[in-house]
Amino acid sequence: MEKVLICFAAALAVGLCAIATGWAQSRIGAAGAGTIAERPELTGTVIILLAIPETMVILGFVVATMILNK
Amino acid sequence: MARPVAAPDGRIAGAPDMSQAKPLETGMRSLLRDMPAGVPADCLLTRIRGRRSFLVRDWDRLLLARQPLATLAAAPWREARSGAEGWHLCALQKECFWAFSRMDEPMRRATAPFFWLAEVRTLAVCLRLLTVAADLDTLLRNSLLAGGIKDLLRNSDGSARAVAELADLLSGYDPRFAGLTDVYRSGGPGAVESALYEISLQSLARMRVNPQMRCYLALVIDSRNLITVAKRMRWQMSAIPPLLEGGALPLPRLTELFKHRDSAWLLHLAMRLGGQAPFSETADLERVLYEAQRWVMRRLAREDDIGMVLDYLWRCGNEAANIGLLERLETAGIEAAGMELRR
Amino acid sequence: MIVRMSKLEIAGPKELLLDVLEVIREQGAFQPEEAGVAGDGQRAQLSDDRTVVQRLFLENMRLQTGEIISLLPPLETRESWLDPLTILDTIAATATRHLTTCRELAKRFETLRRDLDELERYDMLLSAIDRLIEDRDVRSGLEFIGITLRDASFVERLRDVLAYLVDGECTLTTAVAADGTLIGLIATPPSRSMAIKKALSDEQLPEFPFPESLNNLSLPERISFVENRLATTRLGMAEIEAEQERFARRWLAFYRRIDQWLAERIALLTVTGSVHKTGMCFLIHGWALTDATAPLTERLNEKFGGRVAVEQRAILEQDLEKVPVALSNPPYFRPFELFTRLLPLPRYSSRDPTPFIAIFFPLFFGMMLGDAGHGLVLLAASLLLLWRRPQGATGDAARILLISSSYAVLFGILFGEFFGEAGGRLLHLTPLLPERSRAVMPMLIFSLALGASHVVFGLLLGVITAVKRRKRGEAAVRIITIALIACLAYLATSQLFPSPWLLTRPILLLTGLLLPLLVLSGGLLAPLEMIKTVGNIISYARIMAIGLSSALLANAANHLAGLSGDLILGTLAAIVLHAVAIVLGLFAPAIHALRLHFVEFFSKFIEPGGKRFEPLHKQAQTTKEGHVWKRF
Repeated sequence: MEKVLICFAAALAVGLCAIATGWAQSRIGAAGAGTIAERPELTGTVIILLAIPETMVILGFVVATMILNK
Repeated sequence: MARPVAAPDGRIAGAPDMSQAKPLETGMRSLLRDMPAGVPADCLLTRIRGRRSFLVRDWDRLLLARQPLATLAAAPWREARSGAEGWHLCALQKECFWAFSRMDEPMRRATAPFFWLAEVRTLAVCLRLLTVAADLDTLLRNSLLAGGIKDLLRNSDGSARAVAELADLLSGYDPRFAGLTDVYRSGGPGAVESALYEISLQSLARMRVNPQMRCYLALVIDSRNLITVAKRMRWQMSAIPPLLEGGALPLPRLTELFKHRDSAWLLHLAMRLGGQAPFSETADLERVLYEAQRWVMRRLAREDDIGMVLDYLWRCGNEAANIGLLERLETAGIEAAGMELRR
Repeated sequence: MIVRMSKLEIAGPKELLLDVLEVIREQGAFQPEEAGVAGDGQRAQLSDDRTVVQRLFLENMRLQTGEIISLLPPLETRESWLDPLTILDTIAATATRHLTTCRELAKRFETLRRDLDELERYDMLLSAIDRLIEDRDVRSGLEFIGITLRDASFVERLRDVLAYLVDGECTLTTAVAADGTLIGLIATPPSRSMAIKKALSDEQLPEFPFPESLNNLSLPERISFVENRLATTRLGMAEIEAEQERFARRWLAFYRRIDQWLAERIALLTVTGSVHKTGMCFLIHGWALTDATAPLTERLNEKFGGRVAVEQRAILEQDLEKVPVALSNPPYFRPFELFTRLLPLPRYSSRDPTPFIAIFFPLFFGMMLGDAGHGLVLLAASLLLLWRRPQGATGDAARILLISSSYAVLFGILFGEFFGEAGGRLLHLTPLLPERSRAVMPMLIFSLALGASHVVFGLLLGVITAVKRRKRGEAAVRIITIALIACLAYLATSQLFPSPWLLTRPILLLTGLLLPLLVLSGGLLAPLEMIKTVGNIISYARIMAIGLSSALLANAANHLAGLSGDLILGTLAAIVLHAVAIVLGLFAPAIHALRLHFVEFFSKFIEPGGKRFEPLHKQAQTTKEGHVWKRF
C-alpha cells in the first residue's frame, strides 16, 4: 500500500506540473504565433520563450525522482 | 446567414424592459456575419499589439512635412493603399473584417456591439446607393453584416422597400426599430443612419455586455449627448431633443446645464469624462472630448482583453478620418478643407 | 568580444564640413554622437530652419525622381558622372515636367492595357459564339443571348428551366472557349427574350455584357469590330512603349544619378544635425574603432593638409552609457553570434556573451543528446549543410551543429551509447560514466553541480563587471551570493554523503552570518534574488531530465524494433523511430541549452542596453518605406 501511495505521489508531482506547463505553453504559444505573424524576425526569441515554462515540469520530474528513490 | 428572427409576440407593443435583456443579449451577434472561429485570443491580442505600434503617434509632426500623406509611414491596416477615392474607408472596413475574422466566438460575442455600430454606417451607405441603383457588391464584400441583411439589401427594389424590410427584421430585436420606416419617409437615408445608431445604442445600453464594452458604450453615449447639448447651445435653440440614456453623465444635470446655458461646466464635464484632472488649454469642446476619449481608450487598451481590440480599431478609425481630411486638403486645397473644418 | 572604442573630436574650418564628412564616410569607421547629448555647455546644433528647408526640398525631389524611375522601363544604362549641385533648380523644374509626362504616358498605357484585356475576353467569347451561330440564319429574326456557364452540370438544369419558361420556344447550344470557359447561346424569338433574361439574372447566370458601342451591331459585325479595335489598341500600346523607351534612353541614367546623389546628400544633412558649429569652424564628437583611428587621422591629414584636427579624448565614466557597441569574435566563436543576435546588445562596459555561449552551448548539448550514433548522423547532416550553403545564417547554424554534434559523439562514447545502450553494448563501448537510464540520482547530482558551477562562474563575471563600473554594492551582493551558494552546496553534500570529516555546524553558522549581510548590502529583495539563484541552479536538472528522456527514447526505439521479430521490418522500424529520436534530440537539447544561457547564466553578468555601432558609410542608407517597416 505504501508503495502505491509513493508512486501516486510521484505521478501527481509530474502530472500536475505537466498540466501547468502545458497551460502556460498554450498561452505563450498562441501569443508567440501572433508575434511571428506580425514580426517574423522574432521567431528565435519566441522559441526560447516557449521553453521557459518547461522548468516547472522539470522540477516536478526532479521531485518525482526523489520521491521514488527514497 | 442570419438566423430567422421571430418577432417576440406580445412584447412589441410594450416598452422595452429588463425582462427583454435575454433575447437582446445575443441579438447584436446574430446581426453580424457567421464565420469559422479564428485564432486564440492571446494570438490575436499579440498581433494587434504588433500592429498598433505602426499607428501614427504624432500627427502634428506629420503635418509639418510638405506632403503629409506621402511621408506617412506604412502601417498594416493601410497596406493596400491605392490612392483611389475613399480607399481609407475600404481599408478600415477590411481591418475590422480582419480583426473579426480572427476572433474566437466568445470574443466576437463580446465585441459584437462595436462592430454592429460600425456596420450601421455601411447600412446607411447601402441605402443611399440603393436610391441611385448602384452596385453594392464591393461595399458588402468586406462587410460584417449578417447574410440575411446583405441579401435583403441586394435583392430589394429600392431603398424605401429595403428600409421597410430592415425595420421588420430589426423590430424583433428592439420594437423601436419598427419606426425606421417613418423616419425614412420624413428624413431619408441620413436620418435612418442616425436613428439606427441611436436606437442601437439605447438597446445596447440596456443589455448585459462585457464591462469594457460597457465602458466604451458609455463613452460613445456621453460624447453624443455632450455634443448634442453643446450644438444646441451654440445655435441658441430653446429646446433639446431627448438625450440618450445609458451614459455615465446624469441626464438631468445635462438638461439643467442647457437651461442655464452653462458651457463652462459642459467643458468641465467633458474633461472629467477621461478621468483626468481638468485642464484649460482649449475651450473647444470637440477637442476636449477627443482628449478624454483618448484617455479612456488608452485605459481600456491596457487591460489585456477586448479593450485592446476596441482601442486599436478606434485609433484606426481616427487615422482613417484624418487621412480622409488630409486627402481632401490635398485635392480641394486648404481653403475648401478649412471651410469644411469650420462648418 | 566587445571591440575597443575611442572617443574622437574632429575640428576644422566650417566650409570643409561636408568634405570631411565625405572622407569619414569613405573610411566607414566613425559614428558621430547623437545630437544634443554632448555636454560642456555647448548645445549641439539641432537642425536649423535652413537645413530643414533644404532637406524637405531634397526629399520632395527624391520622391519625384523615384516616381520617374519607377514609371520608366528598367533599362541598363551607362553611369552618369554629373554633379547636380550646380544645376539643382533647373533639375527640379525639369523633373516636375518630366514627371507629368511620365505619369501621362503610364496612365495612357494603363487605360489601353485594360481595354486590351477586356477586348481579348470579348474576342475569345465571341469567336466561341461565332462557332455556335455559324449554322443558323442570323437574319431569321431570332434573338441570341450569350451566357457563361460555371460548369457542365448547369447545362441540363438550364435546359429544364428554359423549357418550363418558354415552352421550348428556344434552343440552347454550348461551346468551350479558348480559355476553357463554357459558353452557352440561347436562340429565342424576341418576344420571349425578356422572360429568359429575367430568369437568368435570378439564377445569377451572368449574361455577358458588351460595351455600349457594340450593342447595335450584328454578331459578325461585332467580331470584326472587336478585332479591329484589338489591332489598334495593340498598336497604341506599342507606340507608348516605344516612347517610354526613347524617354528612358535619354533620361534614365540622368535620373538614376540624381537619385543616388539625393540619397547621399540627404544622409549628409541628417548627420549635420549632430555637429557643433560656430561662426568659423565645426566640431564633430563621435566614436571610432580604436584600431581604425590612426588610418582615419592619416587620411584626413593627407586630404586637408593639417587644416582638420583629430583629437582622441579619454572615455569618462559618464560616457560609458553612450559608447556604441561593436562585436568581433575569432572564427571559432563567430557562428555563435547567431544566438547572441537574439538578445539585446550588451553595454560597452559589460561583456559579449558570444564566447561563453560558444564554449558552454556545445558542452550542454552534447551532455543532453549523449549518443554517438545520433551525434554522427547530425555531424553528417551538418557537413552536408555546410557543403551546400556555406554562407549566411544557414552556414553559421551548420557550423554550430558541427561543433555541438561532435560533443554529442564524445559524450556518447563516455556514456557508452550508440543508437541507444544496446548499440553501445554491441560495439563493446565501455561506459566511462554511469549509464544514464539507470543512474538517475548520480546524473541529477552531477547536473546540479554543473549548474552551481556555471551560475557561480556567471556571478564571478558579474563581480568583475560591477567592479569595473565601480558599483561596490552590486559586487558585494554577488560575492555574498557566491559564498552562500558554496555553503549550501557544502551542506547538501554533507547530507548526501554523510561522513565524519564534513563539519556541518560551522558552515551552518557561517550561512546564518551571511544572510543578514546579504540583506544589508542588497536590501530586502536580496534574499528573494538569492532564492531565484537557487532556482536557477535547480533548473540545470534539465540536463539530466532531457538526457534521460533521449536515452530512454533511443532504448524504446531499439526495443520496439526488436519486438517485430523480422529483420527487414525491424530495421525499418528502427530507422523510423531513431529518426524521430534524432529530430527530438536536435531540438530539445538545443532549445534548453540556449535557455540555460539566456535565462540562468547571462542574467548574472550581462547588462543589456548597448547601442549598435553604426558608422557613417559610403553606401547611403535608403529611406524606402520597406526599411522603416523592418526596423521599427
